[in-house]
Amino acid sequence: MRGVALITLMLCVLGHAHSQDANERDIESKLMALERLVRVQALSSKDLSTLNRFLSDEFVLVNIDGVQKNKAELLAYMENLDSLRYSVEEMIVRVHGDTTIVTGLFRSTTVQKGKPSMRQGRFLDTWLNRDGRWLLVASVSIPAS
Amino acid sequence: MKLFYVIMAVVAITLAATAQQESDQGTAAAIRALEKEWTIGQGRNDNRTLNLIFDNRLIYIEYGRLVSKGEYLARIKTEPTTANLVTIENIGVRTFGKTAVVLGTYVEQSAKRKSSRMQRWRFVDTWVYKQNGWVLVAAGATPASR
Repeated sequence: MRGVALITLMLCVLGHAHSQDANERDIESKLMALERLVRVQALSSKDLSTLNRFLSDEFVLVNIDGVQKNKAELLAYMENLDSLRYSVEEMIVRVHGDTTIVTGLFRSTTVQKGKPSMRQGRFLDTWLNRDGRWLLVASVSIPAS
Repeated sequence: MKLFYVIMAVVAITLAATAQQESDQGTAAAIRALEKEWTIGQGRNDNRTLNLIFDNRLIYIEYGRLVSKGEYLARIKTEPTTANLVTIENIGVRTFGKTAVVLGTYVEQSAKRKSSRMQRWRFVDTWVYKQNGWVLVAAGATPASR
């Protein structure tokens, strides 16, 4: 009887761990998809509506030049760009409950007032889950070493 | 009677808001202390302290490179304490329940080169409250001119 109880307990623990792993993998996939939506699609197409939806009101960015911008300043900057091409690769996602960290490599080409500028580096994003919605609260862009 | 319930509701909301504000201020103070502990710990090669405040799955971008907790601690262990002097210039903490995001700038003085070069960095650190307290889960800094 004791053996049955022990086996049942072990199965419950393993089942819980498996479900937790599966949940984390789901979140990892979701956040990678969100990063592509926000960074690659929305930035490249100047889709301010999507950016507005996924950046939290408290969002803060430190750009590759070490300048800090809030959400309104970033959206205004985007509006004034002629164009922006953005790509990401080698994303790594770490889930910590309702907080998820995403890092990856990026390349961007911006044209502002006819002047092109190419940058590349690593980004580091902090996402928070609020009432079932993932929102980006902070981001820093770091020049390639 | 209705007025009584309205007054009670207002009092309850005010108390809850005050409690939240005090909690956020307490969190901010705790995070500032941990950031200071990190700077001091690094300067003293105190791997034991750093091991406690870093999450095992920390994502740390150091000089543009992705570094694991193990790699960082191994480097700190062998590096002379005078190799890099870090002075935090300013720091702001934003709290989101069990998550805190820290923004600030620090100046790093590197003794590796003869000229003892100084560099300002603007950083974003993310802390999460887990079973044993606040731990650093992400950190990155980019060179800043001011």
